[in-house]
Formats: sequence, structure tokens, C-alpha cells
Amino acid sequence: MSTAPVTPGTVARLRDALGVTGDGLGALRTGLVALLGTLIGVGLMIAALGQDPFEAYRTIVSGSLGESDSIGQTLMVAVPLALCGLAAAIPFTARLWNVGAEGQMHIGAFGAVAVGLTLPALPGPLFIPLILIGAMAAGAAWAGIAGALKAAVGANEVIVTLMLNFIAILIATYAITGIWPQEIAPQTERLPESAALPTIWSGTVLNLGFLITLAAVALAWVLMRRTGLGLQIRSIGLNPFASRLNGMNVGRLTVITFAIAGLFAGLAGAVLVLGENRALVTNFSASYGYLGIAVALVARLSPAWTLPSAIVFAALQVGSQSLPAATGISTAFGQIIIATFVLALLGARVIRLRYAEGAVQ
Amino acid sequence: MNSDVIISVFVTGIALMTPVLWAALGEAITERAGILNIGIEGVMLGGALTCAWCIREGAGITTGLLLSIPVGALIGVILSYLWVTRGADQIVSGIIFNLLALGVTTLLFEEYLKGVGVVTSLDKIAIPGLSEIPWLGEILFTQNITVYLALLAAVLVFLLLHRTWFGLYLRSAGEKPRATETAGLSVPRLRYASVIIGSALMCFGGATLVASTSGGFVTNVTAGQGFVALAIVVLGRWNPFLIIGGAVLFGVTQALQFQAQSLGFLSALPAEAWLALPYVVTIVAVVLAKSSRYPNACGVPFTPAGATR
Repeated sequence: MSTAPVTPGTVARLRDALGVTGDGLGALRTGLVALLGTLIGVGLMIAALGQDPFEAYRTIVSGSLGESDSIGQTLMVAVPLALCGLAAAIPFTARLWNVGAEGQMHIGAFGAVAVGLTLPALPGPLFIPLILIGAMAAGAAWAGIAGALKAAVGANEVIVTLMLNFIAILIATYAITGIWPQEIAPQTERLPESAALPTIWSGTVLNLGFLITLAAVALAWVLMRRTGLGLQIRSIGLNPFASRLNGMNVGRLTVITFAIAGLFAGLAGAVLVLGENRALVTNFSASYGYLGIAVALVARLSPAWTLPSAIVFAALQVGSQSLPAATGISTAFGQIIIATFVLALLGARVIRLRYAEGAVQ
Repeated sequence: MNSDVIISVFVTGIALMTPVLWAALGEAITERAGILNIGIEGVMLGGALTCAWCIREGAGITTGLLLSIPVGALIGVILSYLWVTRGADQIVSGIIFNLLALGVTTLLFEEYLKGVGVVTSLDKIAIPGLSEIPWLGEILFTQNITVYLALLAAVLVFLLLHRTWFGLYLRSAGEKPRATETAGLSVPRLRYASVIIGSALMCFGGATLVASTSGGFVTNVTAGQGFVALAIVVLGRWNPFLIIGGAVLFGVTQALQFQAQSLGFLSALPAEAWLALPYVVTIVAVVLAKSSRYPNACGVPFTPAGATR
């Protein structure tokens, strides 16, 4: 390939690659208005609680981006958010409503602990990939249940994935209380030291998991934009009937799409296990699986935009952790800001998921 | 397993089913009009918090239950603005609404209600005569008032949907909204009404959770019951009477965990298995209900003729 000049064709390809559609600029403007409205609305709520909203916002910013340590923390929280974002964005593109990333992540963490505690302690470069593969396989199999039930009997995937979330969390709890209990803390036994993800920015918590996530996002982008499978996934989202008439096996694609989502969510579980305590800890997920849905929506289901979207939400989550100490208001504000913002975007129809009338169910 | 254990499981099961039944009845009305409300969990949290707050303020359980109805209607107005007026996608905005409701109720709970134990709960009322019937009397006719009201509500919801003009209009808006509009009815208005009525019922269900079964508000007190209600509606094929059956099934499987040690060889199972059982049963039920068909236009935003979006 020669060095191409920037032609309209290149721009169009670039826009397509980034998932920026024709109304991108207008959407951006509306999105900024929605953000401003959210900040004002939540600010009024903070004021109603008798606190200074400006002080609260300042605390969120400095708590998430103020020092290298907090930047590292923000990027590490962005890891599960981005991976769970992919676990939502890919099936949502096919109009398959996987709201089960939370459970798939718990099963991934379970798989990571199972592999790490069953195998003898191997050297890290061999051990870590094996654990990650185990976690991804577990997550994919768990998500595959919902896909298979959807494909076989048309079971509503929203209900099934939500129920599987509760079951998965209980399985993770059983791993902690029944299978690999540890006497002192509410967590499983620790994995061997060689399983720890190495730190890549000294002085912070940023570890190899972030680079793994970058690779996963790139892989998801290639899958969705540059492969036949990605085209088929997008196609069944646009029109399942036409896809079927074109010879696609929609049932098989449904299972595969769910399994791919489970791979990413399972990976998120493994990175959380290996990165922090090298053990499965009670309540290790701060609703990352559900927040991943918000991440995917703000990214408008584009894999490439999942990462920046996750970083912004991670900053809100990490920053709001400093709220109780600094201002005496609850950490729940991070989640409130995220949810209000996404609802505003949905209401302003910046995020639109199109249907043909009468085309569902 | 002797008869005492069986009776005890059913007595607890009927009590546990009540919040889910209220929520499922609300969802049935909503879905019949063509709106898929996935935010049940969030609406129920709102009701639970309202009731706990009233009890804490000394206003009593009855006030808490009653106040949850307008609170639910208010939430319904917000949700229907989002879904009907703005045409936002119902599935994803329902999920995000649940996140918002969890955040807001957690915040208010931590800010105002934390550390306040709610120990009072509704008294059981034995219905004279009927409560003397062996087995059934104890199971069905010695319950608190919200149980009786829920069963009555199921009958009323059935009558509303199937024996009134309003119910017919609602169902037509959920099946063929374009035809409803051609007949001169306002689909947005019908859908607003259904979401508001439905949310009021869900919110009341959340309040009964605090008033009768859980005994107080804690963060995420609903623990997935709103989603179970969603499944029960499918299982009950949008028919209030079948929905009662689905709710009983859920309540009884949930009640088994309290009697696990009396269940012979099954007592060796870990506690987590019993806790997971209701969710497993729900999945099995959804799979078995494969022939259930959603109302034709359920979940699809409707654009009135002449309006642009």
C-alpha cells in the first residue's frame, strides 16, 4: 500500500471505522447539552442535601485525575468497564440484549481461580495466559447458555441473562464459602504469586491488565468491522429475516455472539482477580457488568469508542470514592451521574437503537 | 418431610410471593399496552424506600403503603415521558433506570435511614371461618392484608383488561397501535395511563416488601425480584390468574431455603444452592413457556401519525 493522501474516501472509511455516523456532530452537540443538564441536575440534588456541588465536582476530578496514583486507579477501573462494555456492545449490535455481563464476569473470576488453584504454580508467562483462557472459556460457556436457550426455544435473553447473573454471583459466593475458603477474610485462597499481573507504571496500580484490555478492544474492532463474522453479527441486528434468507444460520450466530460477549466479560473477571488480591473476593465487582451497558451505549455500540467511554465513567466512579471523606456525601453519586447522563442521552435520542415496526419478538 | 414442614413452606411462600405478584400485575398492564418496562426493580426500590421512610418517621406502615402509590405514579410519569414522548429504547433505558434507582435509594438510605432498624411488620389477619379449614386455612386465610389485597388486585386487573372498554383500548395499543390510532384513540395517552397504573402497582409491591417480609430497607433490598416479576408475566401469559400461579411457584421455591434442614437428604446442599433455586426455576419456567407470545407491538416505540422524530 502506498501512502494515500487524505481523500473524501479515506475520511469516509475513517468515519466508518470509528463508528461516527453522518449526524455525529449534531449528536455531539446534543450530548454536551445532556452532560451539562446532568451536571446541573445532580448539582441541584447535592445542594438539596446541604452540600456544595462545586466542591463535590472538584473532589471527583481531583480524586480521579489529580495524582499519578489516582490516574492509575481510574485506568484500572476502566479495564472491567471497557471489557463489560464490549460484552454489551457486540450482542447489542445484533439486537441481542445481553444484560448478563455481571454474571459472566463472576463466572470468569471463578474460572480464573479454578485454573490458578488447580494447576501447580507455573512461571508467569505460561501461567497467566492459561488462567486468562480458563476465565474466558468459563465466561463464554456461561453466556452461551443464554444464547443457546434463545436460539433453541426463543427464551427471552433479557430475563435469562439477568437470572444467570444472580446464579453466577451465588456460585462465586460458594467458591468463597465452600470450595476454596480462607479462614480470615471473605475471599478464596490466594493464587500463587507468579499469577499476579505485573505493574506497568511504577508507583501506581496500573498493571498488564490495561494492555490486555487495549488488545481486546482492538481485537473487537477488527472482529466487528473487518471480518465476515462481524458483518453477519451486524446483519442480524439490522434485519434477522433478510439475514436468514441470505443463508445465515441465525441460531448459530446467536450462540456465537453471546459466547464472544462472555469471553470479554470473563476476561474482566480474570483481570480483577489477578490484578488485585489474586483471589476471588466477596463483592469484587462494583456493578461493572451493568455499568458496562452504559459504557457501550455512550460509545454508541462502537468497539473503538468503548475505551474512552469506559475511562470517563471510571473517572466518575473513582472520583466519587473520595466524596465521603472530603464532603460527607455518598459514593453513590458517581453511579447517579452516569445513569442520569445515559438516560438523558437516550431521551435526547443521541443513542438510538432502531427497529422496524413489528420486527421484534 | 412431614405436613408441618409443607404447611410452613407454603405459608412463607405465599407471604414471599406478594411483592412479586403486585409487580407482575403492574407489568402485565404495561406490556399489554405495548411498553416493556424492564425498570420494575427500580420502581420497587422506590416503594420500599418510601415505606421504610414513613415507618421511620412514625407515620406507620399503612401510610407507607398508601404513599407508595402516588410515588409509583410519579415514577410512571417520568418513565412514560422517556418511553412514550421521547421514544427512547425501552430495554436499555429500563436497565439504566434500575442503576439510577439503585444509586438514588442507596444515597437516600445512607443519608437519612441508615442504622434505623424497622422491626414492626403487618399483623396477620385470620379470616373467621375460612381460617379454620385444615391446611388451606393456615396457608391462605391467615396472612397479612397485602396478600388478600394482591389476590383481589389480580381479579381487578383481569376485569380491567378483559371486561372494560379501557382494557380493550389498552390491549389494542399493544397489539396494533397504528389501527388503534386509526380508530381515533390516542396511543400515547393509553400508554401513559398503562405505565402510570403499572408503576403504581410495582411501587406498592416494593412497599409490601418492607411492610411484610423483609422487615426493613437495606441497599438493593429487592434482590432481583423485579426481574423475577418480568419472567412471571411471560410464564403467566399476561393473564392475571396464571400470573398468581407463577408468583406462588416463585414464593414457594424461595421459602424452601428456610426449611432446608428439614428436607432429609437434601439438607446436605450448600445454602447458596437454595438461594439460587428460585432463579433456576425462573429460567426453566421461561424455557417451558416457549409458546408465550409477547403483545405484538411490545417494546417498539410508537410515532404518532404526522409527528416526526
